[in-house]
Amino acid sequence: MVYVAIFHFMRESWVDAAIFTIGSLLVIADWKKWFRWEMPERPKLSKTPVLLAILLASSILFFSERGGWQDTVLLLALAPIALFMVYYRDHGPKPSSTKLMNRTRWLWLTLATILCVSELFAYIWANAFKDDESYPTISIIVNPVLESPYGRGIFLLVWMLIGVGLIQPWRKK
Amino acid sequence: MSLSIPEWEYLGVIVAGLILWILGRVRPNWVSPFGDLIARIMHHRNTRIAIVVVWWWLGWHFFTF
Repeated sequence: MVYVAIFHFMRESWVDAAIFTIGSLLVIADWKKWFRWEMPERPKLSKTPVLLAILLASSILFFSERGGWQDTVLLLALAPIALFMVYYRDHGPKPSSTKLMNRTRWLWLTLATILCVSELFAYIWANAFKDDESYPTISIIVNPVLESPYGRGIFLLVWMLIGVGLIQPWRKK
Repeated sequence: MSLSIPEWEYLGVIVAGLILWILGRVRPNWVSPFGDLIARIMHHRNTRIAIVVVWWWLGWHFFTF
């Protein structure tokens, strides 16, 4: 995360740099135990409020202009909620790392690295040759979809479902 | 339809990801299911915070610019 923050500083994308700097500080603060407050229990939510929140957020993005204040407020409201949902104390022993899990982890990590490197080189070449049609980053490809309210609503739905899948607010354990 | 080199790369990653995801479901002794991997990496608070920050930034990046 520190490397990503440095990368965004270098390309003078100050907001992205600030987000990753804050993220890095949060991780360091947790690692060094700077926060005294502990959340013993994992917070759980039933499906109804989560689905209502997704519906409400999709509606806001559907009816607002892209990059409008509504989007900013929505995103800023979601950040502390998401962080709160994952800030519980670790439960149980660390799961053992099997050969199978290691292989799986390396496979997915390789794919993620290929994606990041492809995106990075597309960004570098697009800037060097002033040609983002031949070297499009993911943002360039996705932008036309996000300009449409339907595209934004669907994209938000997918993004929030990924978040719900990661946080798993209704998981029992 | 002609795709640029980066588009082929993104498409390749998506296809490979889909294959891995399907393999995890149909051959869990070859590759662990994706859900198990997520549960494994979300075990530690430090990783959870980092992943949530990256996930949130993706939303911020795509919806507010």
